[in-house]
Amino acid sequence: MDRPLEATPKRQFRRVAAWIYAVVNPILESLQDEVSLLESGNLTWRSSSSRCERIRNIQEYVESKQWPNYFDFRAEHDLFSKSFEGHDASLKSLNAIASETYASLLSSQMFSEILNVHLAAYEEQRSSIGPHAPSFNNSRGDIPKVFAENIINNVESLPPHYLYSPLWNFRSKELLGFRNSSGFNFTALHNAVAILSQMSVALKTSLEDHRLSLSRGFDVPAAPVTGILFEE
Amino acid sequence: MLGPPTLILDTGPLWELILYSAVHNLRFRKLESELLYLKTKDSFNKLSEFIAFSKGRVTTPHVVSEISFRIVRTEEKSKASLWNLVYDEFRSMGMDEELFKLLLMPPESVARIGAVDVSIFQLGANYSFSEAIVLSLDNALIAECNDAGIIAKHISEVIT
Repeated sequence: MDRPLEATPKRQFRRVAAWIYAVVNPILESLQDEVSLLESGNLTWRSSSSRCERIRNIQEYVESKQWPNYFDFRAEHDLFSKSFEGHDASLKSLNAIASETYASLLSSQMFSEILNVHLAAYEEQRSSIGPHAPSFNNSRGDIPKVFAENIINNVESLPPHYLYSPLWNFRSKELLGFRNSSGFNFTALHNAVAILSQMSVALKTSLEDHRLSLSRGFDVPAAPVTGILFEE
Repeated sequence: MLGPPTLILDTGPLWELILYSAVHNLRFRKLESELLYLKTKDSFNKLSEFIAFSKGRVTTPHVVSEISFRIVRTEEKSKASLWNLVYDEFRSMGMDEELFKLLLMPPESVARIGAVDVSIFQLGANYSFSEAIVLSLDNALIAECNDAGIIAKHISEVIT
């Protein structure tokens, strides 16, 4: 859908600047963070919202006051519009699978038993762990929920000031072993992460290429530069 | 001191913890320049260890209001995630809150150091000596506390 732009490039360079600064650049920044999070396995998935906190639909990467420019960009770029939809569909799938994995862990007798073993070993060795290691014997509370979320988000260790850190850090590597299990939906979760990761990398590369092409075609810098004004 | 003290957290150290987590766990790279003290993993670990040593962690709703003000200044698209992060941090560290009503605060103190600092000061004054430590970035508040026999530390004392 580039034809209208090619027809009157000089008359539309401010529109192109709006796309680059208000739409493409924020999406690129967010995709970079997204790829980095996906590579580390930190999905930032939260059970309270059943979604990834920092991996969002493409539209959410753009400030809401710039959504008219986002819609304008989509109207002129059918292929990117489809790529955005593909990204969002993959993310929706990832969120759904993470929710299933979470539910699967919490309903599992095996998960519960392994947590009990972990808790018993911790209580037995608590005095040797350190001075800040509290007993969790009477406060099992949210431990299964917190730990299931940590496993999904590949949290290797918690900072010492978090209440559950002594217990989680005690043997987190063993608990993270659930991620290698063929059960609990982890295979589907890893596949969903890989698919979204591939899409995000491809989308990022395409957007970078397109930004370069827009910059060349319309003489618009890739980022705003103080002193360069867009005046006719 | 009979045991570990309760830690009373002022806005500055709490905001540093929230920013650190936002930058390093949630990749809010743009906020990195706002970190004043927790610029390295080592300084974060030292603060985290210091907090871990406390018996409990408490702050005031006035401090939450100041955090709110700081979040309001961030990009609109980040606000919801930052608020969720504040909830996560408070929950994860077992943060408690105690309310001090303005009408019960001494007006001359409020005029001198502000209602937020007075709320932290009064919280500290509720504990016996050495049962609580105030952690702040505010030298005026720290001096006010120390003059009144309330132990107060600057974050730089903890992370160096």
